[in-house]
Amino acid sequence: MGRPAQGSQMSPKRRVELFFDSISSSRGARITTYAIGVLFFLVIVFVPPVFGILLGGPRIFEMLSHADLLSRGASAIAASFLIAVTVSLIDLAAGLPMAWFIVRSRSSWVSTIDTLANIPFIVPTVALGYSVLSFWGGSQGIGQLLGSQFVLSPGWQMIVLLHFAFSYPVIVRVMVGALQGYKEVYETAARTLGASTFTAVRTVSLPLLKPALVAGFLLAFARSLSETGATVMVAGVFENGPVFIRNARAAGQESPLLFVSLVLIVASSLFFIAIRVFAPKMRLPVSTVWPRLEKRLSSKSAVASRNFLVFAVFLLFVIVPSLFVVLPGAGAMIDGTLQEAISAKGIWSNYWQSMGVSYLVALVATCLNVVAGLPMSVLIARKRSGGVVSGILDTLINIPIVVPSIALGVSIGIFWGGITGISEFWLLVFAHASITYTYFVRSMIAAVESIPVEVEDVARTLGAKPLMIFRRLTIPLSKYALVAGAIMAFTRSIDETGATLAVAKTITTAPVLMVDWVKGTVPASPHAIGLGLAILVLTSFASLLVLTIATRRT
Amino acid sequence: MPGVRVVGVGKKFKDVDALRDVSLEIRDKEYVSIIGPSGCGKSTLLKCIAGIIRQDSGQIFIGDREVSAFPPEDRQLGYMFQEIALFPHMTSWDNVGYGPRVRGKNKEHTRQFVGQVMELARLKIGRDTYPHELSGGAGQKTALARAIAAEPQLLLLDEPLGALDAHVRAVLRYELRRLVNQIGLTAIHVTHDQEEAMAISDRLVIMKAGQVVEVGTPLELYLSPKRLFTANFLGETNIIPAIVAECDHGHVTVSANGWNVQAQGSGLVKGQNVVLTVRPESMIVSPSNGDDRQWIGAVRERMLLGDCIRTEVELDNGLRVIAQATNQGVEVAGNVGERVKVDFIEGGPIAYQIPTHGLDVELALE
Amino acid sequence: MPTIRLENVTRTFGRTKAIDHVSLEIAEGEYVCVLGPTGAGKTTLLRLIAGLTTATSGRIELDGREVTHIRPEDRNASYVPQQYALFPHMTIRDNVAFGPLARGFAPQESLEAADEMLRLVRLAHRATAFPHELSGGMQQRVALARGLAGRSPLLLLDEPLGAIDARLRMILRYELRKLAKGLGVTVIHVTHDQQEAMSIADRIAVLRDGVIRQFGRPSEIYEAPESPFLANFVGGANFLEGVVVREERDATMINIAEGFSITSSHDDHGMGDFVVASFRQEGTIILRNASLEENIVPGTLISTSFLGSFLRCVVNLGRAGEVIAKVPVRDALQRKLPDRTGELVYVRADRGRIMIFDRPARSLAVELEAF
Repeated sequence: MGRPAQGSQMSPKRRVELFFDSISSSRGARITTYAIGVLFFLVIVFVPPVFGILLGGPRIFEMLSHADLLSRGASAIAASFLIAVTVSLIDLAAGLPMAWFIVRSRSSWVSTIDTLANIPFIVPTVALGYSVLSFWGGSQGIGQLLGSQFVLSPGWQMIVLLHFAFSYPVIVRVMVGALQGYKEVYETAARTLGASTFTAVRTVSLPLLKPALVAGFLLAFARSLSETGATVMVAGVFENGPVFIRNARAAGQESPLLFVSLVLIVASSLFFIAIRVFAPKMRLPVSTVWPRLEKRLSSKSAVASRNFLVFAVFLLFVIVPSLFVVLPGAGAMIDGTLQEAISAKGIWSNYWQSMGVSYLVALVATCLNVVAGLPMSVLIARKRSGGVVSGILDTLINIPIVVPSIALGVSIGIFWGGITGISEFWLLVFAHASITYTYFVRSMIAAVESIPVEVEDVARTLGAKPLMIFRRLTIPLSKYALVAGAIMAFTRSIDETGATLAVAKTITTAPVLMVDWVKGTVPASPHAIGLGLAILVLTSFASLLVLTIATRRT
Repeated sequence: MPGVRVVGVGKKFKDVDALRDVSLEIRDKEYVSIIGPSGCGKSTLLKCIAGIIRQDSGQIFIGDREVSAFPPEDRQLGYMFQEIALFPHMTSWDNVGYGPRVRGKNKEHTRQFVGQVMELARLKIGRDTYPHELSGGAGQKTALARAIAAEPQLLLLDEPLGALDAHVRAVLRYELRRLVNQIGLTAIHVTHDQEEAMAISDRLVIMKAGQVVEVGTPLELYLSPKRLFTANFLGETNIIPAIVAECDHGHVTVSANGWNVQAQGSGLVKGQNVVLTVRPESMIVSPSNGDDRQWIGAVRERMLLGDCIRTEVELDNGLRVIAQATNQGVEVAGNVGERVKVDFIEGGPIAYQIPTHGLDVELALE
Repeated sequence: MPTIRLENVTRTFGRTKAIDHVSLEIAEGEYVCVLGPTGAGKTTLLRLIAGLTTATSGRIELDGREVTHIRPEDRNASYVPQQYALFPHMTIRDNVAFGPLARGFAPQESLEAADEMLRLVRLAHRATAFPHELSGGMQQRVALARGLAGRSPLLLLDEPLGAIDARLRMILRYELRKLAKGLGVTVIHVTHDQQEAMSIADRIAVLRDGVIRQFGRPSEIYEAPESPFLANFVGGANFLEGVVVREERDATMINIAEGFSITSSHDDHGMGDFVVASFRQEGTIILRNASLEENIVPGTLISTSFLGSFLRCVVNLGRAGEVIAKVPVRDALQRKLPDRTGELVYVRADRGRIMIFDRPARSLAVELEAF
């Protein structure tokens, strides 16, 4: 056979391929690519949200001199953390057995339940907020079911119920993934040694699943701390951090806005780092055993009652409240609101315009994240710059989702505010890019890490240059995660309210408009609200359908 | 007094038959190995006996008790896994003490008991050592100690040495047997390594494609296997096509490419096509002095393998055979090209009918 | 000119020396096995030659060219890892065609080269299958075909038979050697299985703790191991500690326990030396009765195991220790050897087959890597 085919026999496409492949060999090319990734991360995603607030200067601390504002702000911050921790723990307790059922049960109901558990993901949080408001607070909802004494008024209870509902699928997804990757052999070994199922799970599986439990907890915590739009809908006069900031902005009070944002940024970052550092050292109690009690807890009837309880909670506190928005939406079909919407009359012209803005911002932000996030993902996953640096970057990329998005928006606004000529649109794009970056990068890192290093090793010794490995191995083997990550980032961006509330003064996105409709800032009938939200749900559902199709084909 | 009885056990995974009507009897205190190529169902069978998998049909008796309805934790057994499966988040001592603890023994009692088991197993491991700090061999020994500490009546071993270095395997297998003997357990040991199984088992169960092929002592199965598959699986053997020339009560004379040899074989008729098996160590190679007419040829390859010498001979009638002799320091005939004669040890050659499903299928090792 | 030349190569990870001043020369077309226990550094050595990890110090030459700091894609040394790492999303044909494609061959030519290689490993009929559809043995052949399709002159195999069943291993290893020799490629085959190495290597490099302990033909390492570890690791042996009590030309007498001495024909040790006498298990002869021959020691039969072509007998020699004898089955049957535990037997070894080593600085157990 001999030497490779010479010039005249090679197609132009091949020649271009070979040219770029050989460039990629050079150290300079690779360093530049990674540098772009890191630079984008620092300049767009990390620095503005975390440090931008500091550019606010002495204005930040003016609030300290107003005692009542200070106490209001302090209780709002405390409320945020308290609610977030409580909700996350309850979600763990309720979501873990559900995840267990999905992965371990042989019942034919499993795939149905699995899909249902995703519903709060599909429903944008603003729709969820209105749904929760209507269900728990309206006469048509819980009142019809169990009696009017259960009807709640907007306040911290509703916030807890709302946050419980939207963090539930997060826990379930994380735990399902962890359980699927968990080597059941340890639990089996424990059982062959005489441990009942309950004992085996408690003393062996749960300790080994601790990293996933911590990760789930942190994700649920971050969501609860951060969410703004829906929380505003159900908060009434109660204030947590994001609600306080929104009220301060609406009232034009700068210092409280800045101060509380700063505190939230610092406190959430520290909390996150503290958990990351100390959680691995925490030990679950495994040395005490109660054989007879735990044997009874493992019995078929105990398991059945536990499952029943889990499903009841799931149904009452997650599914029904999430889907409740269907009712007013259905009503809108009947009474002519639908025609109004289609013809873009009145409030509807704004609606379609804001939808357009939402989608455009999401698209641009996602594209930026994909292009700049790819090199970063490879850098971290393959530890190209050494273990320590990769570890630090790995922790840093999580910060933007831990920080409450409204505070993040405030910070970004101040950071870029000094630069004249930057349009509100681009501020929005940067804010959304910052918030959704992690969703994409996390997904890509997991995918690249799951490609055994040996695959690349072999390819290299066979003569493949870095770009060829990337094109023919890394991307094909992670393309589902790439699409999934991109779509997750995209839907998250559509869903985002907090940062938009902070940054945008003249343009609105769809979810923010919905908050205005619900709060009455813009008058809209319940049917109109229902329809508007329903359309939002449907478009979100469509993107997730694409995701399911793209990732199901194995 | 538990022996184990498996009666008509079947198991299907999706559309594949993992086990087909498997029946076995294992006596009390017997050490039995179940061996076969990957995918033969040996691990599935073990997991059914353990209760880790529920069989589709059939019964399993441990002692007098039919145990199909009982989960693993109620069957009083010890199980060793190929992946060792020591709990990574507990020290080795806590691992060994896990069985006693979950049965309700208190901490002090457990600690003493664990100490005794460690001594029995000749394990010298510090109290604070974690599994990841142990070598493969020490780890598997600890897993054995853990299984024993749970005071089982039956020990099940699922490819326990599979993940270990060859030289560790060669030593640890005897340790396994010694410990099992000392405590007086019944043991069922699954492996694909036929040498390992022969070295330490009282009896072997050969499995292929979900069924039991043959059962017997290592000696019986190696020297007089009833099935061609067993002959080929349990160690190397020469496979020579031949035709029956004469039959006589369990002995036949066969003709392979024109040359004759006496072989064991029953149920055969004159003129029948058969397959002759001869183990390499049953063939003796010596220099040919020119007088011999049959079973002569030239040495094609000669390999000094340390403990044995392997000679590949191309016979004048077209057949190629491999002979093996233990290295006893004496010069064995046969430099490459030399003319040699091949003799057969009495009882070495065995003739088999050609299986109806074909020779290739019968001899397939995967 | 040697195809591979390592000169004082060291690779440190933190404070551990994974490879410690290794020097090696391998000729073109040689089939070399690197043999050693887990943790010896075998994989690191392979990766150093492939260029997947860089040497901390030392020099690596391939075909006369220095490659110490050259990237793997420019070294032309094919690496086949333990789990094969077949590309799961490509058919085996595309897998095998990857090498030529990477080296710049046109797509059509690459596919032709792949087809040729698949025919050689007898998998042409499964060309459109995906890796997960094939058995372990077939996947291994695909991995080899992929490594060879690009006409790489050097093949680096990391435990290529590790994932294969024991019985199948016995057959595939000869096929592996035949394939390599047929194509004239130089092979470095890493393994922990000394039987495997002895069966197919032209030369064996025994690696322990990052250092090469002996490098030579299988028969050389077997006949003349340079340490007790080597005698034990390659081929297995019995070891009896003792003191030299008489020393003459071609004969050294070693006292192994009260009243018992054995004589070896080796003579490089002096009176009073503390030594370890060692003889192979297959060179250990078991007798029913004593006789006046030399080197006969009484003992008790502890156990007998049937290993197919031979019996493994463990004999307790009292104070002197335990020895293992490998007795060919027909021998045992012919001579009607005792097979019951507790019986009195006699053990003998030819003086020409008794090796003598200095007593190791650490204990014998540590030297022999007992765990």
